[in-house]
Amino acid sequence: MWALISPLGLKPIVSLNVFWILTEELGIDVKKVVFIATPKSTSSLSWLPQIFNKVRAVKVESYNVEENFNDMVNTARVVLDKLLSEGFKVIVDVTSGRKIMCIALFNEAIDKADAITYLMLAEHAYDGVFYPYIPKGLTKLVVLRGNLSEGGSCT
Amino acid sequence: MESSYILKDSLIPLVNYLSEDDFDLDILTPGSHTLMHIDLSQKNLEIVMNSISDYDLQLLGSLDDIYRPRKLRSAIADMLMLSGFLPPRGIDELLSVLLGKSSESRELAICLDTNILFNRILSQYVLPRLLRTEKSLNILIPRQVEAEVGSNLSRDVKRTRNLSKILQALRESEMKLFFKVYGAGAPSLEARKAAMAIHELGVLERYRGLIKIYRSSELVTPGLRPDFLIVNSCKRIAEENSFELLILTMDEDTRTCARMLRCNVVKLIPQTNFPYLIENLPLINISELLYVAAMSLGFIRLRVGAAALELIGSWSGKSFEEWKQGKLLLRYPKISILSKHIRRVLKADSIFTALRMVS
Repeated sequence: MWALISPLGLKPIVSLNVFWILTEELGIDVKKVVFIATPKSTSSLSWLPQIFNKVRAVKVESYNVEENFNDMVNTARVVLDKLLSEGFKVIVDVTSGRKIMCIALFNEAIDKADAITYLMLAEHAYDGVFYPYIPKGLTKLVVLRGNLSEGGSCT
Repeated sequence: MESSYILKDSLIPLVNYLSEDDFDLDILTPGSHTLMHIDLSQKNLEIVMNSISDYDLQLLGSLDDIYRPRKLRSAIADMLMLSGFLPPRGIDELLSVLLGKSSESRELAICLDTNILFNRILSQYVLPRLLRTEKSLNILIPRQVEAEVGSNLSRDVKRTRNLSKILQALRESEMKLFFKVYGAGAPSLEARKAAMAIHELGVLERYRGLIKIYRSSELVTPGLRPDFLIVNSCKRIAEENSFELLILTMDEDTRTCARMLRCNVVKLIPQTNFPYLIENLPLINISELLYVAAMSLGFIRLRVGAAALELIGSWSGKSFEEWKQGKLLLRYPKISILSKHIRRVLKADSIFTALRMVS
């Protein structure tokens, strides 16, 4: 039973792309998604969970953080500990969101999460494009740490 | 066979997923001769170009004379230009004007002639470069051009010349067109190009952050030469907005007219020679080619391994909104080797549609 933590940036499709790859391409059974949003990125929370549920039925939670490092570290710790206590294997994606948020999340996830991922994109023209619409070979989900053993490898 | 509607953009995931299994694609004529062969693993396009005899065409009850030996070569050249493989001569001159540094203090605006829309010049050759530079573009679309797009559809599809009705439908997106899908009464190639021009307008409207569209409001004046109306109305919009005007056309009469009215003009000339083997194609161009082939030929059959998919570009009852969105009908056999890919394509299509609605 997997959970995905995704910081929410100004281009929420990036989070959707990671979710699509995990569930549709790698067959990982993600049951819960947790967004961590800053005040600037919360607006997409009004429609994003619906789109995620079109890909696959999933429970969506969100946490709002202020744009300061300490708040981000604390929130990352709370979210990670809660998911682990609920018995989830946790994937932390650090592709989208503010850099400082990704660093805070990475820092907390390094010893706790089962996998830390990053979605590489070779051409900026496809930034913000939904994953299946990006020509094959231009984007790749990289596992920075840990592994996604349940559904296969990420190559 | 199962069938589903998909948006033109969803040909990208279709090609993406089929390429995962290194499928080859054959675009087939109605008599199952191969017209083009696409090797997805090597990303090569081979043009085989089997024409169909008059006798076979009669037997097939088909379609139009696009498949006849004399016409097929120019139809293929047309398709390659429409899908971004065969740039018309003059495109480099145009791009250097659009993307180069201007010595003029005024902003540049380009006036689109009807044939520029028909041949998808902007979306295939200008927009990709524009997206890389993030330069913006002003486009002037004279009412005469929209009327010509409408009249091509009305003449060939609805068999009526009620232009105002067609244009109203174009804007309100309510009308459906009924016609014979095959045989006499099927939309001609010109009508299908007009349908692609409607989609082209839709694409340009989608990039409204990058492209600003100005439309002339004056009524079409009967009796006046269309090229004169096009140039003159654009000249007026350019003067009102203090634009530096550039007329973009593929038509000699429009170029002459532009010169007479002292306007800058770039004339693009379609190339007729094409290579029979094109290597290292980007996947996105393959999906464009499939769309153009489905629209130009009305429908295509794609041989994928032992199975065949049908991609239908025009069907009776297709609404203007569907023409504008570039909607296609996909028919596919329910077999396991394809169903996994098709399921993901249809799912991606539904999410893509939902994303377009929220954005």
